[in-house]
Formats: sequence, C-alpha cells, structure tokens
Amino acid sequence: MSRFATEHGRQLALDFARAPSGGTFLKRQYVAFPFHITRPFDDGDGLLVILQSLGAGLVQGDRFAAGIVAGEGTAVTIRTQGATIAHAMPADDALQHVRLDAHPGSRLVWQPRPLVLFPGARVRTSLEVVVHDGADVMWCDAFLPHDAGEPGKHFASLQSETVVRADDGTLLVLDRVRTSGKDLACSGVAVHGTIGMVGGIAAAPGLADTLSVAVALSGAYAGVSSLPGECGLLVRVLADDGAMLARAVEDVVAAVAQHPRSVL
Amino acid sequence: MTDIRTLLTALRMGDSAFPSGGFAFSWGLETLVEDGKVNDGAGVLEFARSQLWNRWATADRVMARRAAETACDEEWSDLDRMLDAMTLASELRSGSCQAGRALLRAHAGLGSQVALRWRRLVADGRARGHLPVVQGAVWAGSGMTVEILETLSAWTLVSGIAQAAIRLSLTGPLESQTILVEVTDDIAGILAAPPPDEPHAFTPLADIAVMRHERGDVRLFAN
Repeated sequence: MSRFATEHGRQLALDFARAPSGGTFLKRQYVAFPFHITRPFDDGDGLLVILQSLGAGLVQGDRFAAGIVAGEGTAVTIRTQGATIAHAMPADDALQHVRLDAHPGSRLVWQPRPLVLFPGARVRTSLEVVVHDGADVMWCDAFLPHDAGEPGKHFASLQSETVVRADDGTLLVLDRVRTSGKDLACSGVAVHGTIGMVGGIAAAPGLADTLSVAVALSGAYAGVSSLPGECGLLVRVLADDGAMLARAVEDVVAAVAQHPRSVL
Repeated sequence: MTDIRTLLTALRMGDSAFPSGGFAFSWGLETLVEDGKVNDGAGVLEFARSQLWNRWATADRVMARRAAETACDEEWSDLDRMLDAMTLASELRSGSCQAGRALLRAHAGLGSQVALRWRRLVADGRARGHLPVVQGAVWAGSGMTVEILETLSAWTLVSGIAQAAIRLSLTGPLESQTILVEVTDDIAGILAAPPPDEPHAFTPLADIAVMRHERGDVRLFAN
C-alpha cells in the first residue's frame, strides 16, 4: 500500500492516442508524487516525455507504480531525467513496478536511467510489457552499485523482473534476477544493463550485427542475441562505470533508430 | 540410504560415455577464453562456480525438480516454455534443447516410456526439450530420487565444463579433476538448502559470451 496518492494503485498513468492528423498526443494523465512529467515534445517522429522524480529516490517502504499505454498507431518515447538512487533500507524494502501496454501499430520506447544501489538498499523492481500485434517496444533496464563513500559496504538485495507477454497472455520473455551487492562484488560485475526490443524489429535484417558493432564502440563487454521465439532482440552490457553504460545504451538506441528497416 | 541399483543407474547416466551429446557445449567458456576473460584453471573454477550458484541452483535445479515431481504432459510443456522464455541467449536455448533432445533420444532408445512421451511433445511442438526439465522427467522416470537426479544434473554441468576446459587447452586432465574436487563442496552446499520458490538466473558474463559466440570466428563448441 502506497503512502502517497494513487489512482488504481499507481502514482503515474499516461495514455497516449493518435490524433486525426496522424500525430501522437497525451490523451490522459494522472501524475502524483513523486512523479512529474515535462510537457510532451513532438520531434516529428513521435512524442517524447521526460519523467522526473521529485523525491530523493527510493527509500524503505516506497511502493511506486506506473502505467504507460501507447494507443493504436502512436509513437512514444519515455525517458527519465536522472538515475534513481536507492538508499539504505534497514527496516523495509522498496518496490517499483512499471507496466507498458503497446497497442497495435504503436511503437513505445521505455528508456529510464539506471538504478543506483547505495549500501543497504533493498529493492524489488518489475517491468511488465504487453505487446499487441504489430506493436514495437524497446526497453532499457540497468543497475549499478555505489558505495556512497562507504568502501566495502554493499547494497543488500535486488530483485528485478522483466516480463513480456503477447496480448493473449503468451509468455515471451522472462528476465528474473536476484542478486546482492556482495555477490556482485565477488563476481566482478560492476555495471549491468539490458536493452530489449520486441515486435517487428525482430524481422529487421542485419540489425543484430549493427547493434553488435554499435555497442562495441562504447568499450563495454556486450552481446546481442535473438529472443525466444525470434520475438525480438536483446543486448546485454557489462560496463566499467555508469558513463560507459550510458554510452552503450545511447549507441544502441541510436543504432536502432537509424536502422533503415527499423520502425522504432 | 541410496539403493545400489539407483546409484549404479546414476553413475551410468553421468558417465561421459553415455550418449547425451554434452561434449558439444561450453556454455560460454569458449568465448570467454577467446575474449581473454578466462585464462587458466582458476578462471575455469570461477566460471563453474558461477554457473552452479547463479544459474543451476536458482533455475535449472528448480525446473528439474518440478519436472521430476509431475508426470503430466501439460505441466512438462509449461515448464519447458517457461525455461525457454527465461533463456535469453539464442545459443543457450539451442544448446539446452539439443542436449535435452540428445538425452531423450538415448533414453527412448533404451525403452524409457517417459522419454517416448517427451519426444512426442517435442514432435508436436508442445515443448522444445530443454535439458533441465528433460533431465528431471526422464531421470525420475528411471527411478532416481530427487536428491540423486539433482546431484547428477549438477555433476553433468560441471563435468561438461571441466571437459570443455581440457579441449580448450586451459587445463590438463588432472587439473580438471582438481576443479571437480573443488566444486564438490559447492554442489553439496547448494543441495543442502531447499531450492528457491521462483526460478531466476543471473550470469551476465556467460550470457554475453554465448551471445558473442554467435558471431565468433572460432567455434569448437555449439555455444
């Protein structure tokens, strides 16, 4: 149960629709603390919305949820202004859930900045994606530990889950991670990122090779592969630091957008 | 106490001479060597431990156990589909399915009714035949307890990695045996605790290596 105002349990609900002109507009919005959105910007290729948080990041007891609906034929990109800081949580964890609904013919890009896990942070995060026929969705998911001036201290736990389903409920992708700062330190993993894309993008010839070349330029250790059932592509990234990760993500997103057969 | 016949069955099925096709897979090790991420026996041990703790214990074991505890085609199909959705690198999926189908072929040839049912599921497109769920179903069908089949499943993973390390010239036969001795405590430690309620996995370095293997020039292994 959230301590803050919600609508159907969510602090953020954005519904996008297609205008008679063919453009995309924000048809309906519910935005409550801690969220704030910028005025949607139409770059001629779709609508861009920057999502901001007025809070200090995630603290214990937070229960945040957001829902984004890309209506038929819309083109929407949601980015966050900055990384999400997860602070020490001695008594309770924090939970954030995002649901994306991409209706037929829509293209939706969910590109939040990374989750930064401070010592003692305990976070459960989930991304639920529902893809209708003819829709394209791209999502980013990344996290990194940060000792915040306390060398040797680690975040307590991270439970992260990305579930992608077709509109008939068929499970397409399940990326479920359970880890801790101590485990990460032992494994030598510094910064971890995932960029996934499902829909017609899977059929774009040569895109996987293009993305492999693009992500390598960042200097990160990365790989690209087709998702189960050839429903899309996934890029996994291990970077030395947040800056390298940001370059990798930007390079991948730009390469997808510029690919001649891409609809994203 | 474990029945001697069950123990002998497990030994036979865990033997590298059993025709299950496990020699064809490195599970990312080949590319990690190529990329300079693993260079010696210590690196192989670290890789084996990561595979054990961060994938086998948390995902494969869960799925093998669930498959062993049912004899229902629909539940087997559901487990297989779920594991497919969780396996995000293409060559990990294809490797898991090739190994699972090789195991089915061998057991079907030995007259296993469970293997024959599974082969029909695969032929009908109701399952892809992922190795952990096939291991659980087929080995339980051959009379193994959950404890024995889990041990065998973990053993085939690490022995396959040890054999791959020899073929990649990372270790000699004796050093590979040392690695297998080292991971004995890991396997015992994992099996001493109950499996997690929900399957999950986090082996990003190996995942990326398998993804890069798809575009690699040198390919001794299938993944």
